[in-house]
Amino acid sequence: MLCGHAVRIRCARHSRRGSCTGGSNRFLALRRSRFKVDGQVRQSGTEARCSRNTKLGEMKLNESAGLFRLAKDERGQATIFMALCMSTVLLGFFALAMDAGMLYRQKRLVQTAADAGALAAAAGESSGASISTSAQTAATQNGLTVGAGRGQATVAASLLAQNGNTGYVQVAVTEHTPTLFLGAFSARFNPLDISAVAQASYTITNSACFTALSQTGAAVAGVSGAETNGSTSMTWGTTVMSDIAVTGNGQLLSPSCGVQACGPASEANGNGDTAAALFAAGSGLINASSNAAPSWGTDNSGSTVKAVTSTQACSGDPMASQMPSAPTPGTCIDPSWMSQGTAGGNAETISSGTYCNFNTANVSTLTMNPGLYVVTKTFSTNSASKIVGNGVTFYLANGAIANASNYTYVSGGATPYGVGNGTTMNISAPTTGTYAGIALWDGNSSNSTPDTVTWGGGSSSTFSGAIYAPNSNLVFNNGSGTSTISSSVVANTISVTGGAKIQNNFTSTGAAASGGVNLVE
Amino acid sequence: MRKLLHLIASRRAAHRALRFHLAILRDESGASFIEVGIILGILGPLMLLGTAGAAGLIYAAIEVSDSAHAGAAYAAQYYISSSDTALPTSTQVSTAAQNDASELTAMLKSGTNLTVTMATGCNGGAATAGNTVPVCSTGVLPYVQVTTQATVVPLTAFAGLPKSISMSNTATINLVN
Repeated sequence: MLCGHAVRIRCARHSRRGSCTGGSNRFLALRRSRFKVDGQVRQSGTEARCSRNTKLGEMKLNESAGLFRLAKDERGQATIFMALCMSTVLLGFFALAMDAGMLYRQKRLVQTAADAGALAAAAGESSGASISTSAQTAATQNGLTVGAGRGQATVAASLLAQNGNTGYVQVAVTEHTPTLFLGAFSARFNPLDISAVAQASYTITNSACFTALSQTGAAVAGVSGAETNGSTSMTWGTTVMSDIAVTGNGQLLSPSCGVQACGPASEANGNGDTAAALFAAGSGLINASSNAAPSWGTDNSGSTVKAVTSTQACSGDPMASQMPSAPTPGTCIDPSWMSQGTAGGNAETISSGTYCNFNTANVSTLTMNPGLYVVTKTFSTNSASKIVGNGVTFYLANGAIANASNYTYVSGGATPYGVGNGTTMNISAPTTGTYAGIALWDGNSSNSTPDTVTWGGGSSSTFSGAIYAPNSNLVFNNGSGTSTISSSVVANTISVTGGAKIQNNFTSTGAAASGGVNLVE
Repeated sequence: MRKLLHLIASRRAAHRALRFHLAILRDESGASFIEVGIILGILGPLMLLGTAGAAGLIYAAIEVSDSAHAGAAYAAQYYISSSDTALPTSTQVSTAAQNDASELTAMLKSGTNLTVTMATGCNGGAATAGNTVPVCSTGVLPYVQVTTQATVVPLTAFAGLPKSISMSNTATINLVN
């Protein structure tokens, strides 16, 4: 009746002017058609005129039916309508604002957890701990619950490609955040996933360029007579057990980084010592940078270190946590010249794959295409060979069979490998991929039967990449030329004899006090 | 008679005028617009104020949690630059956190401030209040924990709702170098 009243008033008003025709009647008709409501015109003066316009509908309303009239009464419906509009649409906006705000706050919390997680993972990676565990611990410390359920967060840590001595770890935290109101619209909105990603860098602090892991050492000949180590006078037994031993005119130089030996312990000032972690006899020289830790064997003056006892706990294999899983040998693809031998010293080129007996006996120059070379039985090179490989990783598989034809030093191990006298071996490790940074990897599985990897006299080699042989004895023999290594060397023991000179130019950028863990993203 | 007629006429005119005004008052066309206006005028600002107030509280919560993060990050950075030997004092951490949350000041309850507390510990262990550099066993990372707390006054005060709300957040960062 709201609209009916409106009609009546209009009618009445216009009728007073004496006319209800023309514009007013059109207006009247418009009103009627718009609201589709019958207007009951009671005033006699206007009835005649308005009745024309009320023909559209009948006015048979029983006005005495109050309740019915109340039900038909449309007054106030806009109020109800608007209130409903407000309470649904505006409340929806309110809910959206609330949830969006809460999600923004949660995003900050998740980002904080990701940042802390990335830092912890970088620290973990550089100290040998699991990156996933480190990141999850940090996320938990910042109030998140690790898990896949509602209100929980998944924390994923992954290693990114290294850039020189800088490694990167990325931590992605995704929280399945419950929402307050949005779930009412769609179950997809409750919970909502909030993700934050952070990357942290760490310096690959392999600051001990030479690491010998053996706790017992390998036997080398002792020195007769008294030696002085600083102000200490020492005498040696006939045999000395040593991890890193340099005898004769050998030199082991490590100008930019440290030397680490895990044992054996020796009597610091004793006589008749039979053990030293580092042992330099005769004119042998071990010279390592004092700026790098661990600093065993440090001698800034460049004078010979006679013997050094480990004064700190050995920090263990520095590369173990960075190594990929060992490759599985495939079918041997030895070319015929490896086993049959061809006279004349041909130049040959080989590609990556598995080789049973890697032998360069009749090759003048061997060019190795990039890739992984798995050697399952023997590895030996001829004296006149030159081996050149860029982006190459040698993997010497566990349990290979000995072949003693081209090497001269076998000590204790069942599986000697050798680089022959006078061989020039220039190998650079791949810079990317699974085996990035690894030039030579000896997969011998037990240090109780160590392999012996020998560089023959006069050989001159350059390795740009790590030599990782934790269960092998590395031997650099009489008269080896200068072997230059530009990465870490990890072995069971290291022995430099005669005039061999081995220099590691690896520069570790991380000083002891700062491993360089930084948030980079 | 003329006067009488005139009087009657004027009275009729007055009556007409009165009826005209009454008619305006009774005119209900456009009433729904007025109702809409009233509802909008009352509910709209209420909802707007409520939303703005809630958003303000959320903003304050973000500020509080961010400032905790800033304080912890400052402490971790300080640790590195001091060669792993020292942590900043609580006052320094507090300053760092408050600098990060400078916008929060206007929202705080009068007489209160953003309070910052710090604690340290080793991973897996309980935190100890203060700025002592924790000594952890090998392989266990130390951490610094910064907690910020603020008492925030909502933008709008509604009956039945608290006049001020206390919010706090803790950020933990491993001390690594």
